[in-house]
Amino acid sequence: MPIIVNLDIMLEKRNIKSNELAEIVGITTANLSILKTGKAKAIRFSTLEAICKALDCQPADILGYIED
Amino acid sequence: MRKLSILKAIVDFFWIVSLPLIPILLIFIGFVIFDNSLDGFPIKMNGIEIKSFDRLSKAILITLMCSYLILMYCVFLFKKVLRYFSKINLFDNVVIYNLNNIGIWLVVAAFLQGVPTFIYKILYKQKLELEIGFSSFLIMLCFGLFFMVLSEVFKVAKFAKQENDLTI
Repeated sequence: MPIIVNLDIMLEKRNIKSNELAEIVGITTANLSILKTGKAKAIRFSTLEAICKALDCQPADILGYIED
Repeated sequence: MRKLSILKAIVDFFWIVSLPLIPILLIFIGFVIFDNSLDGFPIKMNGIEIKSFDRLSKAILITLMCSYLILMYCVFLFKKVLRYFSKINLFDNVVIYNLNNIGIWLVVAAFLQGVPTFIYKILYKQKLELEIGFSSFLIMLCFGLFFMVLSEVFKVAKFAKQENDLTI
């Protein structure tokens, strides 16, 4: 998929662990792992909003586009 | 899910009652093929009464019996599908595959039943009958196609479910 998720980079920058973020956002660690590994088919605006709020960043910091 | 358990009970009952007929039918097919002593013995199957056993009527009878065996196989597959439904495995690959299989076999059974009946009525009863309405041929054909469509619907639903599961 040409959309990439840079969540792990942001987590490292903010020095937050996956399980902590999952707890703050209110999703399971399994779902967060699906998101991090790029297996997710879609992301809800509400989840994106919660992640951006928790990591104090913009959606573009988490999501990127690369051509196939 | 109460309706499902009622349906499962009815299908299981039908299966148990019809199960002894399968070996009897298989033995009878052998009799029809190899034994000529059945001549004059009236046999009625699906509204067709066969009295004389020439090659054509034997072929018709065997085709009708094969159609019945196929129907039994469809019931067996349907039982399997219902078992998956009761385990809440609605969009399993086995369910999709079996629904499509049931559809295909029902269409085959409809033709195996409809065509010989039509030929028999023309050749032996000298009458051309075209039944419009709820004749077994049309019903079986419709059910067969319905099961195939249902299989396609389940395939689409499975894809939608996968998408939904992977939406975070």
